[in-house]
Amino acid sequence: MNFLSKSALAAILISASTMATAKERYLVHEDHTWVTFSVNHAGWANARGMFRTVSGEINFDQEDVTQSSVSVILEAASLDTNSKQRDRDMAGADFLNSIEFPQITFDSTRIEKTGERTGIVYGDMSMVGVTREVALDVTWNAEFALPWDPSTIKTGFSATTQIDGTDFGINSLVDFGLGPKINVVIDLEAIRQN
Amino acid sequence: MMIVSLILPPLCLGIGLFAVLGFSPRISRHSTLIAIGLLLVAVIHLGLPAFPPISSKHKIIYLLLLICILAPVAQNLPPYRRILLTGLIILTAFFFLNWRRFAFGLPLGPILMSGLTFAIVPTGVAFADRSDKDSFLWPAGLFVTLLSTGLVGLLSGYLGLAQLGIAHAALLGGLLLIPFLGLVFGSRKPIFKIPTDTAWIFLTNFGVLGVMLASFATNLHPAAYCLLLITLISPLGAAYLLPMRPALLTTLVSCAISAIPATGAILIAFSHF
Repeated sequence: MNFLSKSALAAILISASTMATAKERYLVHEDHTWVTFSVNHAGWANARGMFRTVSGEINFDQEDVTQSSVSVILEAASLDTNSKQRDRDMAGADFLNSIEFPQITFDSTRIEKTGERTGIVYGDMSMVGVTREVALDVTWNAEFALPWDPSTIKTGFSATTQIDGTDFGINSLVDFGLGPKINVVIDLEAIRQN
Repeated sequence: MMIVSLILPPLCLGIGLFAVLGFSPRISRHSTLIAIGLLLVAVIHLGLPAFPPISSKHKIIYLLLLICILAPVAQNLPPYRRILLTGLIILTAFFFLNWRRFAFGLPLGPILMSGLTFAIVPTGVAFADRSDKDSFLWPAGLFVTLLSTGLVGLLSGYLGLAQLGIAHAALLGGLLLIPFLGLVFGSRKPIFKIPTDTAWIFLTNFGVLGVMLASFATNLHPAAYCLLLITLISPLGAAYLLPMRPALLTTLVSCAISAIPATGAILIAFSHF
């Protein structure tokens, strides 16, 4: 291998190494994450709720966000709609079927950058055993170290989307005059991993 | 309106089945026709299932299809083999409905309640086979059982199964309605001989629904479920109290005896609601 070839190989390796370090790994901070939803209740009002148990991982490339990825897991039984009886019913076999399908998952497949701090994250959402593509409108809010702990760097996103419950086979929504369109609003904080 | 749309189609289907079976007594596949009726009602309420099935809602349709396929086989089996077949179907239902849950641990409650179903339903089949073939004894008790299963399902947070239980009760009600009215208005003997396999079909059907209820109802009280199983075998009490009595009396007593544990099950489920 001549000198030029070695130099080219070194340049590629350095470049690849730089690219690898540009993508940082973050873990979702559950206590500071709100996965909320609202669904029209027979035209009277919008019923609201949230999932209390959320986990996930973000591989965030600030230089080229299209190279980023995100995966989030919601525990279906952690649903909270401000009524224990309704939570039990919604988590039951007629709706989220949390006994058979305890987790709702989202795994990104591609990301489009739409603005300085905005983008669309496309991904596969799996709920009650059915997987559908969902597009999240995402805004990157901020990233900085905690004022009282400079070693902990936190980043934050907001996202919205709308899904149709019947696309996932939750036809009981219609029987109960719910939705079936479900508006999802996510506010998420994640901590950078060393 | 919702209740009418839930009850009316299966009731009409039951009356239609009576018309076909009652006026064409030479039809050799009685049990298959009744099993197809049960399957049709399930498809109307739960929708066509995906293949391969995704959730228990899809799997129950395939289990009812299995009963349709096995009905003509069961029709010609000696009693002890029918009992074994019933047990096998219930065992299959338990594993088929719950296999996904084995990966993350199945709680003891559903295992015990399904185990009781596995013991009680074949017992019911054994005694139903021995009972008077012309009487309404078992079908009347099964009608009460299915109706109370629907109500317990509703109060236990499983509307889909509640609808199915009530719709299946309506189908059985439709099948029995005209011959029962015949008894009420003077006929000493039933105007239509209830197919001997009706009890087997509905008992096995209950076995599958019972395993589903025990496995997936989020708010099922075990005592309410045990009382449903007692309701299922309550016709034994009527058979013991009223051997060789007029069919009308046997039918009413069978319903009344079955209604005692059924009411208990509903009250427990209601208090736990």
